[in-house]
Amino acid sequence: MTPLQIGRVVGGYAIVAVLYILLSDYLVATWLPDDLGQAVGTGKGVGFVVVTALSLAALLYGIAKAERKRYVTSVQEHPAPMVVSDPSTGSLLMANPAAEALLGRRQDELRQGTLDSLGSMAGGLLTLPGDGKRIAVLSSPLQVDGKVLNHVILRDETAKMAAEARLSESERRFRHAIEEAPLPALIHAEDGEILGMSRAWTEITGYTREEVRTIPDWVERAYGEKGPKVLSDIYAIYLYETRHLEGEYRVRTKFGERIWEFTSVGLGKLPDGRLHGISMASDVTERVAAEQALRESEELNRSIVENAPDLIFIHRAGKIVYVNPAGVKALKVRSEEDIVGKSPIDLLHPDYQAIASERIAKLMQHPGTVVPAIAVKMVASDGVPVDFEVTAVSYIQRGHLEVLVVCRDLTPRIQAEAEIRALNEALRRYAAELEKRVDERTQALGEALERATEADRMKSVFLATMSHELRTPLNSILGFSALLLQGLGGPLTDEQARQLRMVQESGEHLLMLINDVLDISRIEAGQMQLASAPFDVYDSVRRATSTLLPMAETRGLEFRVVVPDAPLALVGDRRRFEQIVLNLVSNALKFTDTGSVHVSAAAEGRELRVVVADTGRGIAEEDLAKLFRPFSQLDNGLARQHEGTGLGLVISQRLAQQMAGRLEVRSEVGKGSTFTLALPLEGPRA
Amino acid sequence: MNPADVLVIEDNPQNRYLLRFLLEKSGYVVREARDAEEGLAAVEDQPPGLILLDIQLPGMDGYALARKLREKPELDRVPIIAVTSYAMAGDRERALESGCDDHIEKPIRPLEVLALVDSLLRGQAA
Repeated sequence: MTPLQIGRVVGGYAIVAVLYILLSDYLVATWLPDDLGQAVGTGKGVGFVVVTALSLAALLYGIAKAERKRYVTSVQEHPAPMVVSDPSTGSLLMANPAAEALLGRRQDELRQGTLDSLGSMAGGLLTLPGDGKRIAVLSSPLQVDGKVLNHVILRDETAKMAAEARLSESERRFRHAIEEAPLPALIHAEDGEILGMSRAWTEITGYTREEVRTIPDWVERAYGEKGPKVLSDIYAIYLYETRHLEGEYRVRTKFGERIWEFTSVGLGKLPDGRLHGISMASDVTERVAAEQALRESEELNRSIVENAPDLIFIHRAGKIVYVNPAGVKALKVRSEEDIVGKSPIDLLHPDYQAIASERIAKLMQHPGTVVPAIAVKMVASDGVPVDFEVTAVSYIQRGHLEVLVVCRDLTPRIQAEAEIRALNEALRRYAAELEKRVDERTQALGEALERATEADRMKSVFLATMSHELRTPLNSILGFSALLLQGLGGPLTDEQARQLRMVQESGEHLLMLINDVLDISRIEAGQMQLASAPFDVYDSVRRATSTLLPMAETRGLEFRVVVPDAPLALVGDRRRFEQIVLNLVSNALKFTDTGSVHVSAAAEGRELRVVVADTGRGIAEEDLAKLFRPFSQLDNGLARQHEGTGLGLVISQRLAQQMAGRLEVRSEVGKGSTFTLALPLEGPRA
Repeated sequence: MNPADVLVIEDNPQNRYLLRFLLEKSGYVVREARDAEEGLAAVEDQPPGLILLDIQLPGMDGYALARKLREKPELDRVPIIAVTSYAMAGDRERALESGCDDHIEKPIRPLEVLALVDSLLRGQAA
């Protein structure tokens, strides 16, 4: 009962009640005596209650009646077959026309019977005898007008079930066909379930149905990281209803990578409403590999020819059919179009066309002919002839006789040869120039050498002359002094003898000075020449020191010379060696006032060491450096005091150095000095 | 050849005189020559018992003269003493190479010269 119906009933009741009240009030006021009016008032109350009760009853009845009627009408008019039964007995109360038609009985025939009695009922499906109709029975309890009814909807399933039966049979056959297919194939549904898998699939991939239950399972195993992309490819047949998809995929099987060409096709809806499809693969691994190898081989060949620095062209039947980029560049044309189609002869300088024709004829006679390299000139597009070295071979290619021609640009070689020639020429000129300069320089050097030799000779002559000139007067001074002092010139008075000795001593001193100055001059001029002969060094030390014994005695010094008895040979200049020893010892004696002078000589290893140690005044450290500097003694006046040039140590050191040895000094002021002369025993090497 | 005859070849008159004086005092006969030419003439004249030869002569030097003298068979056994000025190392070697028997240095030591002359002439005589 709808709110509108309720409103209508309540409204009706309200109008009746108002009219009743208005009428009764009018009657009471106009027509009736007061007592009656009293009674009527009471009656009015009663009447009100009565009217109200009546109105309610009418309302309820109206409602119930409308509801039943409306239900019956709707069932009767419904296009779907429907029946209504008593839930307690199952007996049919009504059937609509659609149900009558479905069940093949009229309503009055059906009434009082049950649905079960019409045929066999199982699992909500009623099968009618005779025509074998199959009817789905869907009942639901329904309360109508306070009564509970069984509202039953019937659906004819006969045709659908037959179709289903037919469908599953074809499906079974189809899946069987797929499973037995010799190529990898999968049947799958839009939700990813794999419905079927060919035996070939399992054999080739190694994945069993248990391992690959869904498309995502498969994709993850076969494609790894690329899985999501492949997945979307597969699902595309569902999503966009392209229903057909092809593509090449690299698939990982349990046995390695394969390349599969996939065809995926949508197959439409399953009985359960899902879309399904099939993916079939053909294994193209070998074909792809072969194609790849072929492509690579072709690329390699092309790359060799296209990148070759040599001009390569092929001609067939007198026309060029191919020229490589090096050729385009060498002949200075825009593209190979400018050359292809031309006769190879046309590219040549006229001078070479005859020989080229001859060679081409030879090549064309027999395929496999190779002609040796010849030098030709080709003419570039700008008319400039270019030198090439040309070789060619003929062969058969797809039934055509072709000639492969390789031309090497000789320009760089010719240029290089020209450069080498120019270089050689330059080198030759340079060599000649150099020779000339060497000659000049040699001559200049010869002259310089001559001058130097001359200068050396002059120095040598000068020193010899000086030596002679200085000594000659001394010879007579000293000689006559000695003669006279020996009484050879007759007897001398004491005074004469004393004075003559002064002459002699001065002469000796002068001689010593001259000797030192000449020595240092020779050394400085590089004219000091040392003899090289074996001598006994110990004997030399003994001889040099013995001449100084008188001096040691005069000065009251302890003088000790320690030298081994056995001889020790040294190859060198004996006199110069003795000069050094004499100089060192006489210095020691000269500068030692009290105490001793010890001289020792001994071989130490491969060295001769002569040590002269004194207890003299010693030499201050700052003076040690000056010791071996020429004329340093002259500076401080020691020379005058000690009758020396101050050159003795300098000469000694230089002599020692020239003998490949050294002269060293250690000294302490107030305690004495030690000079060590060390000379190599094997003598200086030449 | 007179063993007591000493030829002094020396260009310096003082030194010539020094040697003459020294040798004559010791009993030798001394002849003098001032250079190589005179020296050669003197030995041509008569071979001396001994020659004192100064090396530093004007013109032909003493070494060359010594070699020339040594070429003469008549001087084969005549001792030649070279007198050098101690100019260079190897003076003595050069002197001996040139045919001299010995060598003394200037300035001379009179007694040493006498001793050397005596010993050479005695050796000669013996």
